[in-house]
Amino acid sequence: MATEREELDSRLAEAVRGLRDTPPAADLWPEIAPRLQPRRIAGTVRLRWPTALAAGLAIAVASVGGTLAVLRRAEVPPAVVKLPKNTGVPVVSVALASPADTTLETAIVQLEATLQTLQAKLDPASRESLNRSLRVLDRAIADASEQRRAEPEDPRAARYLTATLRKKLDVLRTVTVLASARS
Amino acid sequence: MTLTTPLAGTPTLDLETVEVRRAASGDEGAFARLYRRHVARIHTLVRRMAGPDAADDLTQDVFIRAWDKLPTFRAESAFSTWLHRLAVNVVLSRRRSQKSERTWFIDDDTPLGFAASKSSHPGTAMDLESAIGRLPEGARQVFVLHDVEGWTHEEIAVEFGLVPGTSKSQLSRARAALRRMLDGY
Repeated sequence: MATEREELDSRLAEAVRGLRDTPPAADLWPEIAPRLQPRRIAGTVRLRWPTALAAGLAIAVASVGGTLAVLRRAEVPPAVVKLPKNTGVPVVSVALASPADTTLETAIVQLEATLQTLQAKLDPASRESLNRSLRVLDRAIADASEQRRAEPEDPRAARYLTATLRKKLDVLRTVTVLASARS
Repeated sequence: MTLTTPLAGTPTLDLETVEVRRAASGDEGAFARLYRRHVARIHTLVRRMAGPDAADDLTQDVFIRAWDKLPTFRAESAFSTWLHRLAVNVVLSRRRSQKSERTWFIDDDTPLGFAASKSSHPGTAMDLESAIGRLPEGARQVFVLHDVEGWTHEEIAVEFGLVPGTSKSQLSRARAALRRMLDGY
């Protein structure tokens, strides 16, 4: 037979389980948004249109070209790079998603996760070159995102962001396919 | 919501993961969506720990600090877990900045007169919210973290800079005070 205290404890625990989250009475976002510090990524340079578009993609393409060249001529033993076990879906199929930026980013995140596994098995030169290229692309994406925020109505800003995301996706897809082909 | 079928062997990736990455790279729109998704949870936690008067300001501080720290988020835990821990740290930082801790915890000499009156709506969750709000702040925070949020005494002790035994005794006293307040079931 439960004591009075046990019964009260039980009721207290039941009441705790019944607690619900409630939002603030007023929206706090209007107070928060102006206090957010703009992101600054070390080494980035603010560029204006159309210089940003040309420079960003040119740098990315040049850098990526270097990476692919290194990867293609790298003397990686055939068994060095392997796809994660139980990979039932071809890697490239993920990258053939719709062109919406969110979907592109989702595909990028997935390929990055796959590549992270593969990367550990790449030789140091290929890995360094790949990481250098990805950093360049990430900076280009950060610049594109900033342009998009600064000029939300400008269709060129939207296209630039999509183009840089697509470029990164292309790189990741190509590198992943090349790397996995060596397995 | 999962947007795509994840590759076998890779982490499950969802809309929130994408939003977090976008926000980390500077996308305020993505961060606003994260705010909308989590604000009720965070505001409730902060309100329970620090009281209703400070809840709005502290919630703002939590999200501003989250924005600042997001680039360091490594996805080793869920974003919601990381944000929750950040909110607790913000509340406890406020505590450390306050000078007087005399009534922070319930000690043997603390009059429990605050607990004498019973609720006007016994047996309801809102009634418990009100009762929690009347506990001394430190005891309230221990109760909220342990009984509501599921922390262990060891985790609480680390955050508060206490020994686990103090957390246990504060929890016991907080429950006793709540039992008195809720004795009108």
